[in-house]
Amino acid sequence: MTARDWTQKTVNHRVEEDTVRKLPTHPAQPADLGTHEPFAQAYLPPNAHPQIQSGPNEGMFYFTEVPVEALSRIRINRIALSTNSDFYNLQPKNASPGKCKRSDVVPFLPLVEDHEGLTLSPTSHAGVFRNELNRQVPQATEHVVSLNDLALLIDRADTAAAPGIQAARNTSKDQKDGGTVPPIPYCTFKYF
Amino acid sequence: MSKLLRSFQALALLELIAFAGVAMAQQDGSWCAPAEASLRSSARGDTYHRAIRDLVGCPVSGPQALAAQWAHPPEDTVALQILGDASATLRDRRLLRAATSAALNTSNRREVRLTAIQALLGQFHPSLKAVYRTPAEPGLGGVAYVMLAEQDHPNDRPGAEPLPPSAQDDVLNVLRQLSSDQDEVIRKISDYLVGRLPSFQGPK
Repeated sequence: MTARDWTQKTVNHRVEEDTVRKLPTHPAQPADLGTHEPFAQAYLPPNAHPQIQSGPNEGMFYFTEVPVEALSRIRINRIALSTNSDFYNLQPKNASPGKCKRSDVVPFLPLVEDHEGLTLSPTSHAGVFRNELNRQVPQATEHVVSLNDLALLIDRADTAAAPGIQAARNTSKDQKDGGTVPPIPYCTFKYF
Repeated sequence: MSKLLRSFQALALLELIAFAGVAMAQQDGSWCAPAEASLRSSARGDTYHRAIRDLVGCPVSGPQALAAQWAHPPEDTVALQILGDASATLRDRRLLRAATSAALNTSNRREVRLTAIQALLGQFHPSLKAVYRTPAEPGLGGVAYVMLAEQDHPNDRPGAEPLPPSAQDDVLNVLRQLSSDQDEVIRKISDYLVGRLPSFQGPK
């Protein structure tokens, strides 16, 4: 049997800013200013896992869409990166070269949004994650089938997708952590 | 003075410097006492949320104050999520104990127990995050109920009482216990996590 060409299909990926689990009000490290959490897992795409009703393959479930859903959950520390926040007031009014001053706090916000991927910029965490998932996962899951067993179908999809998902997670890390996302060129903040 | 004694004194000085460094790093900020007081006065709504978030930055008093919340978890879903996130971020043996009790306590409602499991995942590994989802069909396994992620910039904070070396095994043992829980959803999710977590057992 010839595999279908799924290279143009895409993973059901969405980007969401988490406004409930906010980052700490008193940042102690750069990661307290913005984060990206790359979730991805097999699922049953709605109306896209038909079962063959007759013939030699009767009872076989298969997919007509990529059986992986993904979520880039982003958190931005909007409280800290605002005028007169405790973090703002922690920075000196004037700073030596390379160090941040108070007036550098608010302009950092759009740079964090872009770096984490709220705008899905191609070099952001979410942007790289989406592109890599779409490159690695669709064709790898095209062949997945099961006979009369939806639980087995999703388990098999999970196994088939796992290497591509892991590769996408690794690629979407920061360059310093072995990924491809470049750092934000900026002055250095003082932390609590 | 003998060479041996001088070496001993130098070592003792180094240890003293190292201890002072840890003690400095473990100090609470000025925002910690008001946050604690706020919880003691049974704050609700935004005041409660703010207090919980503030306590993440309190390595000494934060774990105790957050752990106490698990004995009477908030009814409000948002407050519960914030408590779960704070308890996953501040890594300390008191929070490991509190989240373990909350997850195993069958008189807690499912939402509380699932949030406690998220807190346990943070104690297991600082990058590990989970979101729950509703499966499209009945009868599916744990993979259909939960999605996992490794956070790109881990923002964990060590508490004043470090996790025991057995912390990862302790979390796995709790999940193994929950794999035979009476609640079908908790059972399936825990069973799935037991199979997946060993791949996250890298540096903590």
